Amino acid sequence: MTERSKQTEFTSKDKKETSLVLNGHFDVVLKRPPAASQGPAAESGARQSVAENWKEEHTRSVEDNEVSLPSLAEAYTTILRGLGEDPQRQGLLKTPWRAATAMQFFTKGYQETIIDVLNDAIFDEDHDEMVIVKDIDVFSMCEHHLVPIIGRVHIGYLPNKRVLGLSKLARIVEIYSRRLQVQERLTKQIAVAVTEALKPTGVGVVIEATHMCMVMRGVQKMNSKTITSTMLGVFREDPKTRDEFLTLVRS
Amino acid sequence: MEKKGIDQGHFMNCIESNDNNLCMMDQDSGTNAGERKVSHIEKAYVTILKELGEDIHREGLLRTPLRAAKAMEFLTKGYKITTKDILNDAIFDENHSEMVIVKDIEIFSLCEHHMVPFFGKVHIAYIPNKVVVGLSKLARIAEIYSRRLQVQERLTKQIASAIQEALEPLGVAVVIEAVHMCMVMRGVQKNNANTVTSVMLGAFEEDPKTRKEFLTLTMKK
Repeated sequence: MTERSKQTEFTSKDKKETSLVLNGHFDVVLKRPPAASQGPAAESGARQSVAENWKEEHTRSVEDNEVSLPSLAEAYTTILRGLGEDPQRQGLLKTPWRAATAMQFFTKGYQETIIDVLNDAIFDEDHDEMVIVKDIDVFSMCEHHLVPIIGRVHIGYLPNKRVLGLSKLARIVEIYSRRLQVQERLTKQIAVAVTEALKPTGVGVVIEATHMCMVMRGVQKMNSKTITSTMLGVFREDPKTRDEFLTLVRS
Repeated sequence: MEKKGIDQGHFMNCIESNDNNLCMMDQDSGTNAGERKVSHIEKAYVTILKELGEDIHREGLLRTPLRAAKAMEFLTKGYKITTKDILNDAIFDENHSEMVIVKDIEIFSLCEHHMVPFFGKVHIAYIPNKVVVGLSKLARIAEIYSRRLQVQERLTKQIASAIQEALEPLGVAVVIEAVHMCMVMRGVQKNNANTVTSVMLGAFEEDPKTRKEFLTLTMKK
């Protein structure tokens, strides 16, 4: 509960920066904070508090999961009845619990923080050529229909004396994708997280995904894909770098 | 309605014996049954969002309970339709007794254990016995049974049985290849695993050559 009140504090502080911090989602493209301000006890500028909040965001704990399981299961039982099914039949007896645990797994990004995942795996390396990790499978939940989003992420960055353990890129993707998401926001969050962790010269993130809410229902277009991208730093400014990244990702 | 050894438990009796298709919960309501059912499901979704740690008042989630409830109703709309409804007109007398195959029919269903989608392709074949069915009706039969909380094995059998009862053909074969999100997105997390189930009735079961012909024609890559 304390985390949630922290969230509101940040929201009101940050209003003049036109950033909105809700439940760990933040819809702002951060300008790179001044290199000196790394410590938690740095200046109290709004920009710093957003960066800090990024590092501390999580609204759920493993204990919360256990505590909420019975009400989640009850909600799923109501849904089963409302759909006309019989929750007492053999195949459905434990479904509310399984569905509740599954949903908690699909939103486990709320339990994890970037700082837990990244702290150790940043290395000083004198490398300034592009690093790309592509075809990272991503599974998220559409926040509008609570139906899966399935796709692939490609991440590229130009290190500035610091590189990141490669699997950490995939872990960043996991933290942000295992939430109720909108594909645009997911792309930006991944890009901002990599930027904040490494301060690289540039970051590019591309996501191509299929939205089950469009495939299984609604317009029912089976082969449609949604592609979003975020380019920061030199990826945004220099067309040749961007081209190189996109070519390597497509190949 | 045809049950023929497929056990859907109590449910089939519940929905068939009741004219307004009311489920157990809303037996006392009148014309508002449809609306009330959605709002029960909506409230359940509000609870779910809260318990997952989300902020139900943020802009993106404001109408999510309603949308999710409607989506879930759509994904389980197969409960309200029977084979008789869709087949009544489209059965024709035709002197044809060679295999008829409709393949690569996309289906989307919900795993009844985790309420998570599974989707894939159905291949349906039958050997007519003087009577053929409109081709799209095979796809519609697949739709009725897949838009439910399902187990892939049961889904395959239900499609086969429905065709068997409606047409009484010389043989029916149904093969489903599907990907289960409950295995891909959670649990074992195996991306490329495919589940294949099949049901062979009549000539397809008895005659290996017929079965082989069907499998060759449908399972080519």
